[in-house]
Amino acid sequence: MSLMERLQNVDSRIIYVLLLIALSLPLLRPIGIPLQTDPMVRAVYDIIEGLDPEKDRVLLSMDYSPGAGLDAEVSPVAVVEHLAERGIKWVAISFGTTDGPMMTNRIIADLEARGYEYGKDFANLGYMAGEENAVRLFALDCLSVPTDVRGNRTDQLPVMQGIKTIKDFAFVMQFSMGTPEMWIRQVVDPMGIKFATGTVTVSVPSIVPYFNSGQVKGVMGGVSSAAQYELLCNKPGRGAALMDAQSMGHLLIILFIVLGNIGYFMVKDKKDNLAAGQ
Amino acid sequence: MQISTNIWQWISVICIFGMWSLPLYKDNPFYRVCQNVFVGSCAGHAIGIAIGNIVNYGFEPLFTQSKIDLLIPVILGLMLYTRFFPGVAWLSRWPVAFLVGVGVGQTIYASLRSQVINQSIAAMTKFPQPTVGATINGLVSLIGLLSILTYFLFTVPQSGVVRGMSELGRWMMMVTFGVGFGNVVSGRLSVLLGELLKIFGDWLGMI
Repeated sequence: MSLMERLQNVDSRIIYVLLLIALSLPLLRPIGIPLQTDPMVRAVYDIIEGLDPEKDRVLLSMDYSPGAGLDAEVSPVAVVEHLAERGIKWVAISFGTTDGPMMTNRIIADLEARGYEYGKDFANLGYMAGEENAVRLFALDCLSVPTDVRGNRTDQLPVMQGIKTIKDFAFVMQFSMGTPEMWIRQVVDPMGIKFATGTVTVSVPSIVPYFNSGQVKGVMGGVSSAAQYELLCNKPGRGAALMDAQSMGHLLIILFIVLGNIGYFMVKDKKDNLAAGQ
Repeated sequence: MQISTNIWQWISVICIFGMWSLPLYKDNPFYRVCQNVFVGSCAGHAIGIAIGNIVNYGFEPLFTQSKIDLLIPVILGLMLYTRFFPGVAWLSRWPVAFLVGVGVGQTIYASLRSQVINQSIAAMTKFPQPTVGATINGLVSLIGLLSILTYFLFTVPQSGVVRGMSELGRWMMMVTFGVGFGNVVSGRLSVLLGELLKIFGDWLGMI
């Protein structure tokens, strides 16, 4: 069996191990590959920079699960860090997954450890069942959620004072593992709110048309967007730390694809020549 | 290097190794234990949240604030369970019909506006755009839209100009699928990186 034929039948475990090595080395010894900022990511940053900490409040719809890993989690962490740094109050709620409140609590625990105050600086309203209908109901009456995850009455939380409908929030951002159509259908278009979305990398191409049409004002997709956002905020965090490894992983996969294709066409040519010779 | 003494970090990392044992070795009891722990804990968490929701949104306002109108959704919800009793199983269709009706009614009109009309308006680009790059982007977008729509034009014979446009549409879709696949690879790498960060960072303290 020639080298090219062997390339067609590489044991997938070899590829896994090579990938693990390619990802691990830059994690332990970062290279510092420069990052370009995407206009969709900068748009989110600019919106938050434009908010007034004295009066503006932000709603975060936390619709992602632990299964999506860091690809879903780093974006909300970066945005919440920016909100906290600017002193902008925010409220979280979940419509798309029952895991949302738990993921929010992870972020809140870190903020509380640094002195931020639950109820005053932020609140977690938990999970509201009903998906699209629930989004619509909450948009029309934000106090339809009776209590938050800690059992406090929603209408008595300091951060919720003056909030009646979703239009009372200066900015709404959804963090999910998919696309934000239900928000666009039920809230963004009918009520005209300022809306952005953070999602996993795989869903970004499906959201770009909504960014181009202006229905979504900003998009963050996965670890790379979070890394760009962290650098915009001058606070490199987990996203930025992972980008070298991510780039090395991409290079290795490109190499595999190129080698695999070279092998395929060379073996195909050899077979064609043999067939022509017969 | 400072290995974590937190038991949850250990459990987390052991479960990561358990899940990796499937692709790197083969199906084995270690993998299945970790998989079942994950499925079980997810199911348990979802049940806990569901019970909390029933109490928070249903029973508490109904009994403590006397919101009698909540009896209707509570009864409809209970009717869903009549499917377990063959004699009255037909009753479960009523709440399902209600849910489907409300869901479809809520979605259809909004989809037309947001995903058909507003997207069509956005596709009508003015030429030329302020910059050369934006003009090229607009042209690619417009040609892509028209050629892909032509590809799915089944009522006209695929010959001549229509065939050319259709072929271009097929290429446009292939490029789109390539972009989608690239994003899938990137997303999966991010998930793997999260696990490596947990191993090298949270567990071994090397980062």
